[in-house]
Order: sequence, then structure tokens, then C-alpha cells
Amino acid sequence: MPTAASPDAVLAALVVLPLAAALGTLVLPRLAPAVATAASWANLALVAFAFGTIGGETWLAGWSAPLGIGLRLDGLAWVFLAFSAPVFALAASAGRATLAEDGAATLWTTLIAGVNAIFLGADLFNLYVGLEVVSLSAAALTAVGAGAAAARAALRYLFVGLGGSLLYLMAVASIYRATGALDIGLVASMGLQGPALATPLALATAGLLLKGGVAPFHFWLPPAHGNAAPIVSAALSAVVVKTALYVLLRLWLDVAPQTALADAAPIFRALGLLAVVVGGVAALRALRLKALIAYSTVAQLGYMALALGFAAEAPGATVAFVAFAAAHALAKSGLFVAAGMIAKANGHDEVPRLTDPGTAYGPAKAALAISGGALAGLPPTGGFLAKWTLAQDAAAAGAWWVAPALVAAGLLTAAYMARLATAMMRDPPENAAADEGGPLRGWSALALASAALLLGFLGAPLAALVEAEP
Amino acid sequence: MSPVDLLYTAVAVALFGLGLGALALSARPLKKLLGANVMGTGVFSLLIVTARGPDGATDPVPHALVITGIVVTVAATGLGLALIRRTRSASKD
Repeated sequence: MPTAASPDAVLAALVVLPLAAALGTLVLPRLAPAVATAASWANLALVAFAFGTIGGETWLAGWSAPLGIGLRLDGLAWVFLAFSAPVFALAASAGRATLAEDGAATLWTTLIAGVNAIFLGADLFNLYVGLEVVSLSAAALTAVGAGAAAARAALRYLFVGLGGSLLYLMAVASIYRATGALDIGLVASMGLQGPALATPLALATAGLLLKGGVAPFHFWLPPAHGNAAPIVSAALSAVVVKTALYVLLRLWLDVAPQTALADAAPIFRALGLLAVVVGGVAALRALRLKALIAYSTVAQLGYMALALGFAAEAPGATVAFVAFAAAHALAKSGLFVAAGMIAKANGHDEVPRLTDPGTAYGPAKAALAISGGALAGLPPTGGFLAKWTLAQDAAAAGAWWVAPALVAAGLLTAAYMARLATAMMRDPPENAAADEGGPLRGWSALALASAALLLGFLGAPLAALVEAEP
Repeated sequence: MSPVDLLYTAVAVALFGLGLGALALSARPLKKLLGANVMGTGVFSLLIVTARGPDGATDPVPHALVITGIVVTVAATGLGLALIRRTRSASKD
């Protein structure tokens, strides 16, 4: 590795820096959007730097388990950090006006701190704290600068988040009761069995599926993601739902024995297929642009559940899970930012009446096209990489139906993305306005979408990072 | 498990269930928020029973967890109340 940096400083900085920035936004309210944007970019630089400390762990302030706060960076954690950080950085640059709203900059930075704490969390209780920090920041961000509909969606989102977190916390309490341990590795080594294992697994899984918006627990997701400001929707769908699914993955891979995951696999497969169908059909029928994109998230989360359903039999399915998470995060955040611009230029967001906003919106339209392709899983995008990996591993595990199911799901995605392509072919109005938000937004959207495309070429390093996990 | 421990555990699980019921089934936002608080109280009670060791010694870790959990719950309740107020003032407009 190129750097000899101590993991202590780097891992602690990944949590402390965004928290310090959150304080900064309170001390310097006028500079708050600039502080939040700078912190988002500094976070991206830190994540890139942290690549050199993969495999490291640190105990904050020298306190060890069980009272200390442990942070651990393995390849899996780094990949999740690495697709989240650019979303935060580019979305912050694209949404300076949103970050200037009262409180938004502070919430944006606490959101980053919570997300990083979850990805690095080494013990089950600190994961709970991270989940709550993320939930509260995200719910409050949903309501920023928006109307009554957004406030109601935010409240519902908060209740879902609270219920999910408390179900998870009950699971943590019962695990502690049975083992006297919270550290993930320590709990796993205790070899929990029978009801002492099944009860917490069921509670935590229910809570995390609820928070992760996996069908049939997705009812809250479209209103929350569809009413927030575009960059908030981007962060919610790209990163926030993934934090819950990340904890779910950790729980089933690192805490539960492999036999338990094999037993639960049919449930995850069924939920995954249900989500793909329910989300895809709703996206096809959605009237509003942001509702269409939000239902598309429901469908894409289904792929992750489906991949988890094969992780016990085929280790490569974990790679597919991560690839789906990363490809969706980059493509969907680009899509939300671009869609926000196109809706604003049109003055409404009803899909059947949308038109091409004009030549000033070139980068946004390109972002729309590329992210649509990535979501549908067209080669050579990251979405294709994920589907290809999953189809191969499922076939190796004897499930031949997965490949045709993924192709059919891709066609469904292409069908609803075609509604946007059709809209972009309608002639722009006579007096097509220039882009008022400045060129930065369009290019940010395009950068995110391009990253989703680029991911398609990174299959081998991605697999190496994820499978290196002990 | 002693009868006292059993009683506390049963009460903790009952509180958790009652709170979950109110959070999931009630139509009124304030009731939902209180439901989440009762749910939290259930988890915290369970942790406090867990802290009682067989020989009367106490394990400090669950107490640390409960204190952290209470802080989180206060923050969540504050946010919930603020959002409820906003939906009400917005619906009056």
C-alpha cells in the first residue's frame, strides 16, 4: 500500500470531520453551505486516502471493547464508503441552494457522519447509534424548505425509521443478554443457536427491511423520496437506504452462521422478486417524475435482497449485492439531480407533459440517458456488472430462473426509463430558458452517472475488495 | 432466572409490544410518537434487567447503552414533535 498512515487517525477522522463540520455550520451560519460542501469533498478525499488503511481498526480514545467505540475498515466497508462519498460531494455541489435552507447544511454533515459511522461500525450497539443519526438527519432533511406534503412524508419517514431502529435495538439487547458481547466478531464466535439466535435475527431483519424500504415494507419510500429536494432525494435513495441493507448484510454474513442464511434465503429471494415487480410496475404507471424515480429505487432494492438470497450458496452473490448497491447509488443520484433540473425547467414534473428543456441542458440529458442505461443493466455499466455476477452465481447454485428473471426485470426498467426518453424527444418550448442553476448541477449529475458507467469496468477489483473480507 | 427477573423481562417485552402496536396501528401522529417512546422504554427495561448479575453484581455496559438510548430517544421525540407541529400549521394555511 502506498501510504503508511496510521488507521487510528484516518478512521477517526472519517467520523469526526463531518461532525466537526456540523458544529462549524452552527458557528458560522452564513458560511454553512460552503462548510457543508467543503466537508463533503474533504470526506471524499479522506475516503480515497483510507484505501491505504484497509484492514485497520481503531478504538476511539483508547477504550477497548465492550465500552469503547470501535471502528473497523475492511474491503466491504471501503466500497460502501467509496460510492457514498462522491454522492455527497457532487450532490452538495449541485445543491447549494438547498444547503442554504435553514438547518440543511448541519443535517447534511451529521448525515455523512452517521453514514460513515455505520460503514465503519465494529459493534452492534454503535451501529444502532449510527442508524439513528442517519434516520433523524434524513427525516429532518426531507422536510427542509418544502411544503406540507413533505412535512407529512418526513413524519411518516421518521416513524418508520424509529420503529425499524427500535426493532434492531431490541435484537441487540437480546443478543447482549445471551452473549454479554456487542462486538460483531465476538458475538459471532459465541455460536448462538436456536431461539437465542432466531429471535434477534428476526427482529433485526424486520427492522432493517423496513428501514431499507424492501417490499412489502416500501410504502413510506416513494412519498419521502418523491417530495424532498432533489439532492436530498439523491442522498436518501443512493446512500441512506443502503445503510440499513449494509447492516443487514453484516448481520447475516458476519454475525449469523452460514446455515441460518441458507434457511432464510427463500424469504430474501421472494421479497426481492416482489420488490422488482411492484416497484417496476408502479414506476411504469407513475404520473410524477420523482415518483417514477422513487419507485425505481424500490425495484432496485429488490435486486439487493435477491442477491442476499444467494449469498449463502455463492460467495460471488455478495459481490453482486455490493455492485447493485454501488451502481444504483451512482446512477440514481445522478438521475435525481438531472430530473430535478429538467422538472424545474419544465415548471412541472408530470411525465406525460414533460418536454426537452433545450440545448442548455445537455449534461443533464446525458446524465439521464446514462443512468437509465445503468439502472436497466445495459452493458458496460455497473448495473450490467451486478446482474451478470448475480446471474452467474445463481446459475452455479442451480437457480437457472434468475438470469431470465433479471433480463425481464431489465426490460421493465427499460420500459419505464423509455417514458423519460420519449419526453426528451418532445420539442422544447419556443422560449426555452437558459439553465438558471449554473452549469455545475448538470455536470455533477453527469459525473455521478458516468461513475455508474465506469463501475462496469471495475468488476475484478470490486470482487477482490469484497471477497478479501475474512 | 429468578421470579423477579422473569417479571421484569415479561413487563419489558409487553411494553415493547404495546409501543410497537401503537406506532404501527394508531392513526394519530402524537400517539405514534408516544408508542415509539413506550417501545424504547421496553428495550431499556430489558437492558436494565440484563445488567443484574446472578450474584447481585451489576454489569455497567447495559447502563451505558440505556443512557445513550435515552439521549437518542429525546432527540427523536423532539424532531417528531417539531414535525407534527409543522404539519398542523401547514394544514391551517
